[in-house]
Amino acid sequence: MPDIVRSKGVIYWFFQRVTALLLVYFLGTHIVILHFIKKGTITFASVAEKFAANPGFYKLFYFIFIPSLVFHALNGAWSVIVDFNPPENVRKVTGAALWLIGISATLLGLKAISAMLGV
Amino acid sequence: MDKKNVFVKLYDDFILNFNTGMTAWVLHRITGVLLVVYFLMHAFVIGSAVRGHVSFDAALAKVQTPFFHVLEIGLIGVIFFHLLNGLRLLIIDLSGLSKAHKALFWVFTIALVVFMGYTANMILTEVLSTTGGQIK
Repeated sequence: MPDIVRSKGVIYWFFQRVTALLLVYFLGTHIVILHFIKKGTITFASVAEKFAANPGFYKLFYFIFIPSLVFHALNGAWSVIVDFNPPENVRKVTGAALWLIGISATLLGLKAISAMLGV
Repeated sequence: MDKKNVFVKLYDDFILNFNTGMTAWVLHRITGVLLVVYFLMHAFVIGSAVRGHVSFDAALAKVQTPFFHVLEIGLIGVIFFHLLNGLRLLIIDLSGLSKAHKALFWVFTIALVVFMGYTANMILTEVLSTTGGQIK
């Protein structure tokens, strides 16, 4: 296996690019729906009603969107932290904290969407 | 180590020696950090849905005021700067258009300015029409 593929950094870099491409569509659509198409105040009932019109689409949409966004945001934050060249122990603690925040935020987001989908 | 005042250094780097690539990189970083902070707050607000519709509606009511709607103009600007500059980076990385990176920056900047003009006009018109000209 070539050295470049063995490097974890390259894999993170690659997924940062893949999620960026996904977010152009998913985040763009999310913003257009919420800020340009929606009318009136957003409530639990109004979101549930919108989701009920096409539950399969919205489930697939947010189950790809949320993990992609969390990865892209926290991996981006990691890149910024690493640029300050912190000592190894700080890297380990921040890396673990980012993983914990990422997993928690993903689960919370998916659970919130599931609640509004009624599943 | 350069001991120049930070403002003098910023003036030197960004005004005297303006460089499109570095400016785009710094703005991408700043907007990225702002978006991570916003994302964590957004997850906290939307996450209230797991506690039921009463919690969700109460949390959403706090952030659907005219003041927050006006702040959304800035949020959309930050998101779309990051998105368009990210798209520019993808184009440069994947299509071999690295020699056109400056032109792409200005094309996307102009697109962003036009888009934000439309967005700001749309949001402000809606907010002012519902509040009778007051934002608070």
